[in-house]
Amino acid sequence: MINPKLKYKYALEALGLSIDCPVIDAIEKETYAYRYCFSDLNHPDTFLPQALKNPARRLTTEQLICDNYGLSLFTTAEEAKTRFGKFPERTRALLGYTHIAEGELFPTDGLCTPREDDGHFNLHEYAEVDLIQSFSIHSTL
Amino acid sequence: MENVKGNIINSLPFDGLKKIVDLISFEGPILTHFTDSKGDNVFFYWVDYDNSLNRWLVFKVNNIDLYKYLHKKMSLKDLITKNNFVFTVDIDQNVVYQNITLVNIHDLVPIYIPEEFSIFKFEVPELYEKFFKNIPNIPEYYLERLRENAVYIKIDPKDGKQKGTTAVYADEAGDFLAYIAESFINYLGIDFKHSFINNYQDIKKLNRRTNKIKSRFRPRLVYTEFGSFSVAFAPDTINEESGGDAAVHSWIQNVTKKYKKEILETNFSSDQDVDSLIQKYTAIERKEILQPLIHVLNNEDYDTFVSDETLKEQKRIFPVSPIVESKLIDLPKGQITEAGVVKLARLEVFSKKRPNVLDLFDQKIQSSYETEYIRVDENTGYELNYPLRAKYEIIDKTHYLEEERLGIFAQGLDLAEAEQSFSEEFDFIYKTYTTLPDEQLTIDVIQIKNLLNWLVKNGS
Repeated sequence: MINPKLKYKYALEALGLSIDCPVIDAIEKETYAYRYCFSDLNHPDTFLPQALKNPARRLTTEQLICDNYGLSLFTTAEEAKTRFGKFPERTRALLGYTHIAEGELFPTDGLCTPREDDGHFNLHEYAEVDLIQSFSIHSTL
Repeated sequence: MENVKGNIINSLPFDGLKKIVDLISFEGPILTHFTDSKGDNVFFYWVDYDNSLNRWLVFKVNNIDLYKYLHKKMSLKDLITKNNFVFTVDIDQNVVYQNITLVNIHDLVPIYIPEEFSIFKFEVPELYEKFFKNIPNIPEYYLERLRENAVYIKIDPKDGKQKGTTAVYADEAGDFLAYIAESFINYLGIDFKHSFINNYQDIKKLNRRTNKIKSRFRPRLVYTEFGSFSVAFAPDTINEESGGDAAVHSWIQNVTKKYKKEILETNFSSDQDVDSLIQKYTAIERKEILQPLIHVLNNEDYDTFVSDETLKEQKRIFPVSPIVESKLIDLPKGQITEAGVVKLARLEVFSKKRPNVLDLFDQKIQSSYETEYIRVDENTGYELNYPLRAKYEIIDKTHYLEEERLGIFAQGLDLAEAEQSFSEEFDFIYKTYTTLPDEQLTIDVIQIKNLLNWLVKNGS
């Protein structure tokens, strides 16, 4: 079932997913969150989910899964840096991120998937949410 | 995107590609593992993009290299560059392939080749446990897996520089392997007992299981290198089953690393490290684990190093001084406590007749003898849970040791001879009484048998 409050509700509905999107244990919460970004926080890709980036990185014809409509975030800046450091150098260059942005999420911003072991989680934004208003550059990567 | 030098081809030579998992991903795949219809592994690695296409480097990976990569023994660079030819393919967001190019590895755009130490830094996805189980048992793969849990040790001849060779003598290499294996096997048994003693109410069952474990997981040599003599050994955790017991399975997976940390990496010059061994292991356990190891460490012809699987970081294990060796592996000896020459009036009561003369103020040594270890001979001894105290007397130059509860009365021309006699008697009654069923014993002997079982911690 697609949560009707999501920003990308129509795109998700078009996928005809047979799963809950986001996962059923995604919750609204108040928390600080960290996201990779470019030196210019106003870059149009900064808060764009992967599914909407051009060209989307896809290797199979399976439908874009729900996760691709979420924004990748981390619970701490250190966890974000650690994960980035694990990518091959070429990947880091292609992703192009140079900074980490910090922001505070509120229950009105959307649904957060459970934190993974490396601190990563996805935020599925609600309609009308514009995270650029609540994020600022925290540090370099 | 970069210009790719190579031959454009119509399609990739892999049929029926099936995605296994994204090994590296962030908001989409970065490095993805596929298999084709023949079961061969094919990797797609994201190397470039423009406004409409992502470029992927596509290459084959054999099972052993896949295993090595996932276990950080092979870099992504090596995985790619060991192929003579690779492919690049540009893929749009509808997964339409374009510009499929066969590229000689020497012509590959240099920035597409990962950095030198591009090892896999993420958790190995769980599905690989099943994936690798389904691969037929290739000897090299089997060794690779055992090497995961191996201890790496190297010996370097001391006269190497002088003689211009690092080759060790064959007989010394043989002794070295035998001693190290003995130390490890003994550790295996002792650590098993420590770890699982609470699971066994019957000590005999624990001992039987321990012996099986020691035999089943005898270490195999999984790596050798000549020059300096480097070897790695590990218990065979692949072919040998742990009896379906998850706790034993987990224990055997970790015991080699534990041996390395607790024993091989001990600093025998450090009082703290030595005391820690003394506290953790009983005298007999220390002797079993450390004596063969000290044979190796104190060999004057070579130096010993312990290493990890990369063999890059080698740590010397220094010889053990005689004082420390004695502290660690000498078994405790009986001690005379409450010793004293007592002048007393000795009343002859042994003869039927009452003595005519009462020897007043005769000299007699009346003491206690205490021991925590009964040594019978070089191969036989008993470590006791509690000190055994015997009455020690010297009467008319004869030394007597008497333990009333066990009914042992031993004598000799000196204490050593009395001790030996005492130990032999102890050994005899232990072996006799504890092997007979209670039904064949009198009530008194059953009491002695129970006392012996309570008293003896380890027998060898």
